[in-house]
Amino acid sequence: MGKRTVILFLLPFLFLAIFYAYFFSYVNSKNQQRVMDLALAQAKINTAFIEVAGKHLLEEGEENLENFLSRLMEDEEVVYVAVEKKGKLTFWDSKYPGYLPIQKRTSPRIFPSPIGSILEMRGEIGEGVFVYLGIDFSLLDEIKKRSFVNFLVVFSSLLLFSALSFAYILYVNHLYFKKEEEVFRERQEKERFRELSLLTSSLSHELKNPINNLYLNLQLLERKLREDDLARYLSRLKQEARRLSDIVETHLSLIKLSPHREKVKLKDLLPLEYPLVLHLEVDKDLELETDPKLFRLILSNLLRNSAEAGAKNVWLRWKERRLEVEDDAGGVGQEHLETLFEPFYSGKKEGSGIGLALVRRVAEALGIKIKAENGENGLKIIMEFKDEDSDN
Amino acid sequence: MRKIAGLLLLFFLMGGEVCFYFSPDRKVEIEGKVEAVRENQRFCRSPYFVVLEVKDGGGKIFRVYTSPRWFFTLRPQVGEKVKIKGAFWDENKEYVIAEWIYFRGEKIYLRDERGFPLWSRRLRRGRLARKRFGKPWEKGR
Repeated sequence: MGKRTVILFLLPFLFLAIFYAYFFSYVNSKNQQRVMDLALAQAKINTAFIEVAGKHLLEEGEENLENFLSRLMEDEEVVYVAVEKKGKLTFWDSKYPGYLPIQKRTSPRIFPSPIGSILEMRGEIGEGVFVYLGIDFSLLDEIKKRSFVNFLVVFSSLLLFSALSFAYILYVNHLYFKKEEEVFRERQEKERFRELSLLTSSLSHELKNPINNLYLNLQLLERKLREDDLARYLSRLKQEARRLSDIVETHLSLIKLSPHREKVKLKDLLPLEYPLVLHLEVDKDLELETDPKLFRLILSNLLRNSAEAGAKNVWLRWKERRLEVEDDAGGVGQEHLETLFEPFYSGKKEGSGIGLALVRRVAEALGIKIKAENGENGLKIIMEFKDEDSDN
Repeated sequence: MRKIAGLLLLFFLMGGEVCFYFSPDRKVEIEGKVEAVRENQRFCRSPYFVVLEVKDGGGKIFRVYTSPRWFFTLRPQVGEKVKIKGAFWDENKEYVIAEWIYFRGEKIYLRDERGFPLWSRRLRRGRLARKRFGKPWEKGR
């Protein structure tokens, strides 16, 4: 994913986050202002009551006023009370010894203190006589704090959601491109195989007739010659010509893969011409519905490959519609596993790189999914059969 | 005025309550020797306070109200030199509420600049907090 795409994806979330932060700060400040206005309006009404009550109490005697204020101090929310007469405090009391933060300014007033906000009410109860009442207003701080916590929770959730969405999209994007790459690679391989098939087809076609002629002429020559040595040489030449003919036939049949399926026992398909000990860890009557000729070709190529790699033993295992063929030749490097079935790729000096490529081509034609991995002893080829392709 | 001061002193000696407050407008710094340490003085609503009598270089005696005794455990002894910042609360400039005290090379803060007592930390609100910690003004009683 390019930088531009990332930026384009992140921009809406960024704008959303900025909008939310701005919206929150706007709404929050408005709400706080409303709460303050409400509190101050209430405080004004209370101040009016205090002034009236204070006047009556003062008329009855200062002691009554002080008793009344002392009773107010019993309330948990009242932080301090005070009486000021002609600029001097004549009575005061505080929840916090010695702490009397009276403001002597416009009333009512909200100001900060170490215990949180304090709402101070100041009422004139006589000529030059004022009463002060300080109320704990830290609830406002708590509302602010909770509001901010709420903002943080929503904001961080938004960021988290954005990050998760982004990670998910990156993951899906990665999967998509990986799949696309696989499809592209497969298409390229098929294209290469098609070219190879065309080449093989024309070459086989050209070789077929001369080889047949050679074989027939060798047969005629063998009948006329009686000398033992010559006859033996001719017999060998004939065998080689027959083998050449078989190879050409096989290649021609591969180009036109048209599987003919039938039920066949696995043990009947095993090629036994290679110097390998076969360990069958399968049911002896295991039947597969496949093309016997083509499937034998697969097994033949796999066993030949193992034998050429120096294997002595080969194990065949059948597990949940999977046939595993493992040898004891030590396996291949991890980097070669992916390219093992590609045409013209070979780990051997004299290898053509056709064998395993043909194996996969044939397997695909038979509907078998084939893959390679390193087993405990050596290379392990796994063939997965489709449900309808096998009967066990 | 002397009569009032005498009455106040009598009030203190009787262990009664008296309210006074820290006024940031009347701050003062004094330096001198501790003449006496008293422990039974109270602000109104406060726990018992430690009161130091400090004589400065000019021979004037100041009565310095520090903090509740449970908060002021490391206190100066009689005869020790101290430096004190605080605020007068009476007209005679005799009674001082201490903001900090410096002695034995250490400065002990008792109040903030506006006189808020540092031992009265704000507790969490609610019934559970009060049940657990008690009311702040009752601490140390």
